Amino acid sequence: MTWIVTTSARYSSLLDAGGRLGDGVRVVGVGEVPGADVRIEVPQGVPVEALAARVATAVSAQSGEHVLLPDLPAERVLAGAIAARLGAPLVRATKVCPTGALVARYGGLSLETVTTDGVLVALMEGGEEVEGDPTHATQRTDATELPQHPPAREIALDNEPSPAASPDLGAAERIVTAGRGFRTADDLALARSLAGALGAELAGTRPLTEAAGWLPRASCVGLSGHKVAPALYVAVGVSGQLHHLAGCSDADLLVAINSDPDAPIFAHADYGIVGDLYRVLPALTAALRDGL
Amino acid sequence: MSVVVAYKWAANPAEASARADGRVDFSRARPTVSEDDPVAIELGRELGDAGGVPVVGITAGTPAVATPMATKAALARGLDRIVLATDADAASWHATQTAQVLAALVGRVGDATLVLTGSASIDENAGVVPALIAGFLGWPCLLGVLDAEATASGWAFTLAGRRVEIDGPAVASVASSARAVVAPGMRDVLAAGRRPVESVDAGALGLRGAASASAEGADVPVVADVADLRVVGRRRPEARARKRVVFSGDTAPGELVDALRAEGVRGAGR
Repeated sequence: MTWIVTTSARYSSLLDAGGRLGDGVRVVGVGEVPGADVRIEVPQGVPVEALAARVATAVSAQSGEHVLLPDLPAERVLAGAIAARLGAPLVRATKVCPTGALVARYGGLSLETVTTDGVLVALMEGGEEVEGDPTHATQRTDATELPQHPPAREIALDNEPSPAASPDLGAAERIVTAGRGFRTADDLALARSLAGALGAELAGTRPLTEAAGWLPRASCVGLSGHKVAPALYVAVGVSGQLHHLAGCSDADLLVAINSDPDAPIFAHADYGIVGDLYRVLPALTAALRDGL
Repeated sequence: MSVVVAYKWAANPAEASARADGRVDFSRARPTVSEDDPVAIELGRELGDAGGVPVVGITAGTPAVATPMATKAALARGLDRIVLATDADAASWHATQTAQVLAALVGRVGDATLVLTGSASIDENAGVVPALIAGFLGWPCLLGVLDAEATASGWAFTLAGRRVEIDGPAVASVASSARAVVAPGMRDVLAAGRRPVESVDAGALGLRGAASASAEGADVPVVADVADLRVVGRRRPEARARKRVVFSGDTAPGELVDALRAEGVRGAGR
């Protein structure tokens, strides 16, 4: 059996992977997750991370089985608790097979096929939203049978771009990604206009999403974020470091815009423009609106 | 009480190359304290100073992590001392095995109430070790912490979009934007050479088999042997063939639009 553990409805790819592995799928939903077989209640005001040990006890995977989780921050914490409890290897997998998984190592320099005699816990791109009643589950956990979580509380803060603005990059057909070529957060309006003209989602590199916080962390493309495969990927002001390329190299068509003609991104692009993005983007956006 | 910072001595894969068989050659890459870890040390130093408690670095790896160059580089960032574990085979450990050793080192420090890490190591960039350490310790873990402060009962963390308070000990990975770090100066490096480093053989931590519960210094609820992960195939990713057509000058936007149209790309809503 394949176990799926998720706090999010976006786990269609894990269902597909579990289906290919055979022997059935059991979905452990933490909170209100559509399609869950087991639902673990998240008390109001308690951070999901504080429930990790509790969630781990609900996963009684046996040797030879996989435990799959969407590659999201909360799920990484859950995965750590599950893997530690089961004594299992934990990997970020490109795909899984009955005997193991395919794993990109060292910034994507190498692809390894790995196997274990025990349980394998794998974080993967979650995919699209699964439909269903998020309050329904065939089984609800009895909290008295699970270990108590440490007392913990969370309150919302308004200190980053709205999560509601986080795009569904896994399902996006077109993505415009902004990199360090942008000098200020306000300048991202240029990238948004371009994305609008293309009907694309706006994403960012790690420096913009984590270090600068100009875009939601959930919009990061690269090893630290999403590995995407859209039909069209436009990298603007992105130099093309290894960790970013690992997240976008599967795009069908890759376009780069950068002022540095020696930027590594051009070696990985189908089309590129060498130029100042502050001049190129307004002209390109206008040309796209007129010409496509 | 101590604040512990788990760090990694690692090389940047951008300085490495993949051989045809998929093996990665790091011989030309120079290891350093992994890129994000100085941020965690900086926050740990602040919290240690605020609470009047020592800041202890822990790391695990091949004997290279115990060389004076490696330990001084970490100590110079602001650690009071280091407790590390080495093993000749550590390069083949997977993340769960590494985290199990690091959790045992937390137990060896003895009085830790907080374990900080960088957001991800520069070589693997998986960002899973802090969650695994927490799993072995049975502590809660938070990823992407922007700030932290001690409370009467534990710790309060600021993250993107929320503040989390935890009663008791915790593990936290620190966002790379949490603190600005500066390279240590000569005085820091000289002082680092005088600070203590405790190096233990990872095998002496007794994490394998039933001996784990009574192992020296391994005050960690180790509940299972960690299964091995075997590499049964390895290859260099096939580079996707790209056209590499580059435009420049004032006509470039129009030329790119023509090229996209020829590729079948249509505008939004068409």
